[in-house]
Amino acid sequence: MISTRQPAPRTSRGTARGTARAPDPTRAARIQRDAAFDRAGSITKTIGVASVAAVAAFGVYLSHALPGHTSTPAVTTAGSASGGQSSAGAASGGQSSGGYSSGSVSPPYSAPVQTQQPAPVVSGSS
Amino acid sequence: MSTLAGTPERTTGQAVYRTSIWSTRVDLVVTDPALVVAATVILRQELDHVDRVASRFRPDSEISALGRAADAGHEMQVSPELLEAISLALRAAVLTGGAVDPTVGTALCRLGYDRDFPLVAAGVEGSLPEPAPVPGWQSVTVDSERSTVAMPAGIMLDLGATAKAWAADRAAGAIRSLLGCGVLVSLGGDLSVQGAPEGGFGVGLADICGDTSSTLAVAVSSGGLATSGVGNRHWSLGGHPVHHLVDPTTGLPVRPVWKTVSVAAATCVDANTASTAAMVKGNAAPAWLESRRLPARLVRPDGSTMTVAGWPAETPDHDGEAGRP
Repeated sequence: MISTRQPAPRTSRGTARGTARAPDPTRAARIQRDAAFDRAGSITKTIGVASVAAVAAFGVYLSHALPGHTSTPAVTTAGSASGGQSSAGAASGGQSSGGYSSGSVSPPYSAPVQTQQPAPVVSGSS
Repeated sequence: MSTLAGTPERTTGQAVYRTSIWSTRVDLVVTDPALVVAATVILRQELDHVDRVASRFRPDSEISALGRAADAGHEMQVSPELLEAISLALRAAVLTGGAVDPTVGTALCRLGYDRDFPLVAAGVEGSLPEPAPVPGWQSVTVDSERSTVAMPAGIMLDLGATAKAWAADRAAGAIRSLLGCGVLVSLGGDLSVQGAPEGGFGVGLADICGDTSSTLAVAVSSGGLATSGVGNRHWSLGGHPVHHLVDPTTGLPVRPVWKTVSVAAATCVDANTASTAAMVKGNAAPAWLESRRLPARLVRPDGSTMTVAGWPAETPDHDGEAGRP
């Protein structure tokens, strides 16, 4: 910062009294300093608010963009088939606690294969 | 209900335990014979628990209490288990386009199936009701955060298409996690497999669960396999033959295009959901199963079969009538 302090005119009695007083350089400097602080504080506050808003907006974006997140409300009435998520597990859009996929009837990891080995269990209508 | 006083058998490094529950056959296979007793205890606990929660034949079950609450015009706070059981039933309805609907309970009662099956099998007085759609799964509201279920008065839920399979998945999962052995749990031929040995568990296929006369067998390495059909659970209503697979659009037994449908899926719940849906969907079933990559074997009333989505094709050596598309 450029200094604005100027030497005061002197008389035989020292600093002149009764004439037009020169502004107190210390006070002026203090005022300028305070104004600068105010501006810096204002800028900092603006940056802080903008940062918080940006982080919040990004969080909302992520909550919709990432798999496993949805805005589906917790209350799920059966509704239409397309709306479809009545399952407590299904509401999350992912796997329910039992490992059941919400989006489809899941195929097996591997299809059954024909075998000649003993079959201790028989599957049929019951 | 549960009469888990079965008989253990031991074959080729596996122990098999057989008994009956819910008027149906129970088979438990573990890969470590030393653990069969402990596995039986776990199985019993799981099945008893599911029965107390989801049996519509027990007045003291939680689902019966839910029905009474609905009739009184109230929603009901339910246990996590019943919440999951109903949620899975509603999920099945969504994923099958309503072909598997848990609100068929009242329709089943109108057909006479309002008590344990052995009491129905001998025949029921009455007449065939007029066709009428069931209330529909859309009328059931689940609030998963508050653990509440609400539905209009007069609805009776029947979780038969999912709860038995859910019990098999729960029991197999519990045995696997607590004992660490490979396990197969079969409830009426709807089976769940975890930690199968190399080559999988051998599973025979038949029209009726437990019928050992068939020589056709497949190996199942994981997930679930279920067979639905009309060959076993049928009875007479005032002289009319009826069975337990209800078409939600009519409230009456489905016209059986297939004698049985067997489906393999990632879980027993999914397998049973798909096999039941296939019975209801009739001629549309093969394309529906194929589009979902669900390996399946469909048996026509004349005994001929077709397979879809990677189910192993059958050679004439097995049943002599395979492979007709």
